[in-house]
Amino acid sequence: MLFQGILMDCFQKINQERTSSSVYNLLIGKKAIQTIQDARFYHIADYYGIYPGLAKDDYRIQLNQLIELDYLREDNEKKIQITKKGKSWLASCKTNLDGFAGAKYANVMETFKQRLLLFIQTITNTSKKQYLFIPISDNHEAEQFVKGFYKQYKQRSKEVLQQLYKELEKALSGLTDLEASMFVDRITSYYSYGSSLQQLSQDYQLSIQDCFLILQKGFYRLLRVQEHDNDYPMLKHFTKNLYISDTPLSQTAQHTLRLLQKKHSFKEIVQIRRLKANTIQDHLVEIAMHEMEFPFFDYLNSTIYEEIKEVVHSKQTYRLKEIKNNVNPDISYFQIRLALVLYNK
Amino acid sequence: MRIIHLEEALYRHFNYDFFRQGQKEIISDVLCGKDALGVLPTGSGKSICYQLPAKLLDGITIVVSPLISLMIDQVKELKATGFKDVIALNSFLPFMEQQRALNNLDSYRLIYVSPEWLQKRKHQNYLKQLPIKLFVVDEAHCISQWGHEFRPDYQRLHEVIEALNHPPVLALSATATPDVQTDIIHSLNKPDMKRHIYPMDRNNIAFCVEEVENDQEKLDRIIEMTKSYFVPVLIYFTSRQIAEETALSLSVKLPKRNIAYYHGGMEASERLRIQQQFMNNQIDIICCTSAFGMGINKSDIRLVVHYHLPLQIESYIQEVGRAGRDGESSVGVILYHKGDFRLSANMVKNELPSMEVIDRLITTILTCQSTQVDLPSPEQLHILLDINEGAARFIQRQLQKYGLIQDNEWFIDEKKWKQVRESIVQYLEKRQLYKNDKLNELYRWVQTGDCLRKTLYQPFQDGFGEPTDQCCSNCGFDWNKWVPESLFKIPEASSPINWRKKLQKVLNMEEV
Repeated sequence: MLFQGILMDCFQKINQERTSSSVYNLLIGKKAIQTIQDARFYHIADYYGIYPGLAKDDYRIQLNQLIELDYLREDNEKKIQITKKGKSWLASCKTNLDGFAGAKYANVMETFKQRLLLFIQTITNTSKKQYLFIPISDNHEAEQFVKGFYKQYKQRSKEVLQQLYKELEKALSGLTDLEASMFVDRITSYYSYGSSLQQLSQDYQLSIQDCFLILQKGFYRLLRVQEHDNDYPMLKHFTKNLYISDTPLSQTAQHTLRLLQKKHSFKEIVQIRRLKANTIQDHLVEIAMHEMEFPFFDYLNSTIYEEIKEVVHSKQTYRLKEIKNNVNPDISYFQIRLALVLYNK
Repeated sequence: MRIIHLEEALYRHFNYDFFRQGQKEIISDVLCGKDALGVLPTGSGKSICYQLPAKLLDGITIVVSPLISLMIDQVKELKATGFKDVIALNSFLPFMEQQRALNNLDSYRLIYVSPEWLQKRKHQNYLKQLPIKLFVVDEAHCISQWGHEFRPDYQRLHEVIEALNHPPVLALSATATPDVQTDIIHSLNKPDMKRHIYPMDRNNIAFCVEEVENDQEKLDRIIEMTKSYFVPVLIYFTSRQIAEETALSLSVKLPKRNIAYYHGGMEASERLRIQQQFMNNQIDIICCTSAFGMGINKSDIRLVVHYHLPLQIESYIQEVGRAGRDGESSVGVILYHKGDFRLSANMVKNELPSMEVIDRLITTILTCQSTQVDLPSPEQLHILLDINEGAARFIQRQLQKYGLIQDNEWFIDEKKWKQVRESIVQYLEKRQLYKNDKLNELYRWVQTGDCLRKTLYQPFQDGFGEPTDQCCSNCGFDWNKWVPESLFKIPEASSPINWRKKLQKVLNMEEV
C-alpha cells in the first residue's frame, strides 16, 4: 500500500505534466537535471532516491495495476493523471506517506546504512568473542569505517551496545510497532542473520516493495533524529564525513561552477569546457537550484521574469512547452527554466 | 616428523583436528612439487588440498575455478576463517578494483581465477612475474568433452601452465570417470601426474525414487516428509519460478517452519542472508536451483529432495552429496513423473544453439559488415541473438577455434564461413548426441529395478561401501526406520509489539 500510495502522491502532485518514467527516475534517484528539477518543482523531493534498486519492470507492473484499478489514468502522451477514486483512496492513507527525506540524505543514506548494519554485526559478534563471521556488506568504504570505529570502541563493547540500544529504541519509538519490528528483524547480529526482503514480505504479509520502503523509512528516521537532537551521539558518528545537502551537484556542474566563480563568461565556459552551450545551460540551472547566490539577472531581466510568472499563474502549469507557447517567442527555454527556479526559491 | 607437522598446520590454519580421506596424501605430493590428480567425493573437503599448501608454500597458489559465484563464496568464507591474503579475479571485477589487485598481486597467497580471465595474454604477463608454487585446476572434469560440464577454455590450460614455466599442477574433481581422468592428464600434458582416486560412494546416504502422478503429488509428498522430520532440508528445482512458488505454498501449509527459496536470479546480498540463515539453523527448508550449495559447508543437511532432476548423473551425485557430510544417516529422494523427461529433454535442447540460429547470426554479421553497420563485439554476441549463456559460449568457442574470432574481433567472410560450416554442423550434432545420452543414462538409472546405489556408482568405480543405514528404495526403504535427530524446535510466535525485546536480544542484552 505504501508503494502505491507514494506513486499516486507523486502523480497527483505532478498533475499530468510529466511522463510516467519521470516518477521512476525520481524514485531511483537519477542524477539528471530534469529529475532534480522535478523533485523541487512538484514538492516530491522527499521521495527522491528512496528506492535505488527498483526495477523498471516492477515499477511498470505496479503502475499498470493502479491504472487497472482506475486509481490512475494514462493518456496518449503517456502522461498520468490521478482519478477521483484514486484521490479519495489517497486521502484516506495520507499519514503513512510521511517520514521520507530522500533528497536531503541522497548522499548519505546508503553509506550510513551499510556502516551501521556492519558495525552492529561486528560488535555483537566480537563482544561474544566470535571473531570470524561473514560480513553482510563487502563495501570497501563501510568496511574501512567500521574497522576504525571498532578499534576505538572494542574495549567498551558492552557500553557501546547499551548506548546503541538506547538510541535505536528511542529513535524507533517514533515509528509504528510494525515498522520498528521490521527494522529490528532486518538487523544481522551474533548468530542471527537478518531477514531477507522476501522473508519480511511473508512474515508481515506485505509486498516486497512495501517492506523495502518501510525499512528505508526507519533509516530516514535515524538520520533525522541524529541531526536534530543531541541524544544520539552514536548514530551521529555513523554519518561522519558524509556531506548532507539537498540533492547534490553533479561533478561536471561543480566544474562549471568553479569557472563561474572565477568570473568566466558563459561563452568562455563553453569554450574552456568544450561542451555544447545546451550542456552548460543545464549546469547553470543545476547550480541555480543549489547555490544561495546565483546571478539570475545576468540571464533574465525582470520583464521576462514577470512575463513567465504570469503564465505560470494563469495557466497553472510548470510545463516548459506550455509556458514557451504563451510567452514572447524571444524568451528561451533556458530562461524559462531559470525563472522557474527563481520562482520556487 | 612431516606427518605431525602437517596435522599441526591443519589445526593451526583451519581448526580441523584431522585429515579426511585422501587429503594428506595429496597435500604431501603437492608440497614435494609433484603433479597430482585428486578425485575425491563431494563434501570431502577437496579445497583443503590446496588451501593448506597455499598457507605452507613459500609463494603463490593459483586456482582455476569454473564458476564465478563459487569463487566469490570461497573467498568470502576463507576471509571469514582468517585467511585474508586471498582474491578472486574474473571479468566481473570493476576496472579500478582489478587494477588495484593486478598491481598488488604479490601480496596474495591464494589467487582464484576464471578460465576466461586466464586466457588474456595481458593477465598471463602479470602472473608470469610471480613466484607461483602451485597451479590448481578445480573441477578438472571441465577439461574433458566427456565430462558433464565441458568448458573449452579448460582445454587451453596446458598453454598457460607452459607460459608460467611449469609450476606443480594439482587437478581436482569429484566426478571423473576413468575416461575423464585419462583425458585430464592428457589435456594438461602431464603424463606423470600421480593419480589419487578415492571411491565416491556415500555410504550414509540412502536413495529413494518415488514415482508420482503430477506436480501436485510432488508437493503433497514434500509436505508429508517435512511435517515429520525437523531437520535441514534442500529441495532442488530446475526452474527458479517453481522453486519460489513451492517455497511459498510450503510456507502456507507449514506455517511454523522456516522456509526460503534461493536461486541465481536473486540479489547477491539477499542470497547471502538466506545462505547464512541456513548455516545458523534459522531456516530449515530451502527450495533452490543448482546455484545453491556450491561452496557451502553445512554438514548436517539430512534430506535432499529432487523435485526436478538435473540433466546428468554427475550433477545428481554432486547435489545429493550435500546431504550428511558429517557422516550421519541421510536420505536423497527423487520425486518424478512421466512428464519430467520431456521437460529435461527440452532443457538439454536449449543448452546448445540450433544450426539455424548460428546461420542467422552469420548472415546478420555479414550483412552488417557489407553495409558498414556497427557490430557488437564477439563477447557481446548474445545481443544479436536471443539465446542462453551456454549456447552463446558454444558459438564463440567454435568461431574462435576456426579463427573467425580472434582477440575478441570478428574475422568473418563468406568464403571462410563456407569452409568451416560443415565441421561445426558435425561437432554440434556430436555434442547434442552426447548430451542426450547423458540424460537418457540418468533416466535409465531412475527407472531401474536394480539396487540404486550399485547402478549410480557403476560408471565411476568398481563396487561400493556397505551402507551404514538403509540402502535404497529398490532394496526396500522404510521411512519409519529412518529417525534422524530433530534439530529444530517450533519457534515461538512474536508479535510486532515486542520489538524492544527483539532489539535487546539482537544487541546481546538479553541477560541485562
